[in-house]
Amino acid sequence: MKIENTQSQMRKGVLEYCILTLASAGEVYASDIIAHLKEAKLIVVEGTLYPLLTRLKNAGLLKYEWKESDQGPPRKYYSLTDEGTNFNTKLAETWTELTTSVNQITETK
Amino acid sequence: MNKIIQINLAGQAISIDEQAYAILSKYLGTLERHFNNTESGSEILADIEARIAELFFGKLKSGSSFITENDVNESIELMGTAEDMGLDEDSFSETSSENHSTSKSKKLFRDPEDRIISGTCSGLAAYFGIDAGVVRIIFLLLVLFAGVPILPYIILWIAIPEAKTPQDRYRMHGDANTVSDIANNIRKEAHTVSDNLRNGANQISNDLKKNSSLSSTAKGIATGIERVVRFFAKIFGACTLTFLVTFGIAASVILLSNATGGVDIYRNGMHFNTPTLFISPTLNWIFSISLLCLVLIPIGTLCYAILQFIFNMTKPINFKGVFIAWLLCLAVFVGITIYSSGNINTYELQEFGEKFQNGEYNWHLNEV
Repeated sequence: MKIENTQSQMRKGVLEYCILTLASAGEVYASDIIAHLKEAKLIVVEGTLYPLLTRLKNAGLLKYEWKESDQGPPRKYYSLTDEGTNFNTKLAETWTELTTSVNQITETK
Repeated sequence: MNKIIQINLAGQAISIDEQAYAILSKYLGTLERHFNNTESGSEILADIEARIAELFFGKLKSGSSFITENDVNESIELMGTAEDMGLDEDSFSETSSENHSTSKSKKLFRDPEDRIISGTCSGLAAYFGIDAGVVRIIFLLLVLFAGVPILPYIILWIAIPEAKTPQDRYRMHGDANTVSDIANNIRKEAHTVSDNLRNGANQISNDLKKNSSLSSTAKGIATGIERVVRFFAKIFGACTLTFLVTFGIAASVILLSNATGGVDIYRNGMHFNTPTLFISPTLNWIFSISLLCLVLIPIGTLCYAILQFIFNMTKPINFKGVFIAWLLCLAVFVGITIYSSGNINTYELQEFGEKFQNGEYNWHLNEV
């Protein structure tokens, strides 16, 4: 069993939650999401995000709008769908529960 | 001195150094191959292209007159390699990213910088992580004592692409560098197959419990089944390949012996010569060679296709050209057969047949 695999599995679930939370601010550009995730050291390279965004969009959790940009090609601005909002709320609950549980275990060890 | 060219990237006109363009198009090509099999791959690729275009646009706006090699390398570093991105490509089904990277990382190439004829031996050596000299000696011994590997060699020569770029050379040597690693990979692949089966079953039961969308189940089963089928198909392909090569060699031996005037056999003090089909040696040559091509062209093409499948190669086969060559051989064969029907070596063939029936050649059964 490789530590990298376990680590990336752990990160994956959290990453989706974080992206949805960042998108819940409404109308965010991929680069903004990337900047936040990079700052939090959740991803290393930008390319990781694009497959994720597309998948969340295909799952009906995210939607996007095209906007003209004066800095190059038109940009996609992402926001949550209604389903995405529900999804995110549930994830937030799970996350709170999880952190409590994990803290409880690791602290009383 | 370098040429500056204009390209259209995500709808933006961008001036770029020729060298830089080469790197960029290679990078995007790798990504394209990587995402081609995934759902909405083209959309992901378009997003990435748009982002790179935007980065370049920023560079050009801040004063550079064109995009340099450095700029391209910078944005590639920022975006990450295909392997970095592959991490998240399929996290619905719990396939590990490592089995993906092993199938990507190593590829069979011919080595143009270390070659005697075509670099096939050194390429095989690099693939299996052994010294090229060893492969060459084995090959030479087989040729001298058995004459066997010439046909497979030619097929491999045609089928294996030459390592042209540094990336190719890198992938030629790959990460898995020893024979034992290859054994490990095979074991890993078999392991993934069983894992997939188990995961597929788990996923079905989970999805049924949760009553969630069946499409993801279907997708999971589909990818699982695909992997299993591919695995067994590769094994089946290797068996077929062995059979075809053996058959090709046997056909070559028989037909070439007909062309060269039969085989002289000395055994137990007896001497006889297997009869040729026609009396005229020229006719025997043309007949044998055309029939040989008629047989070997489809066999060779099939072997080529199987090799491509086993080693994940992508060079397209020119089926039209192959078919035309085959038709040509067919025309020669039919022509020669009709033309030479009066030249059949009836007498010797009949004699051979009678002797055979009378049991004069039975010695070889008793002896062995």
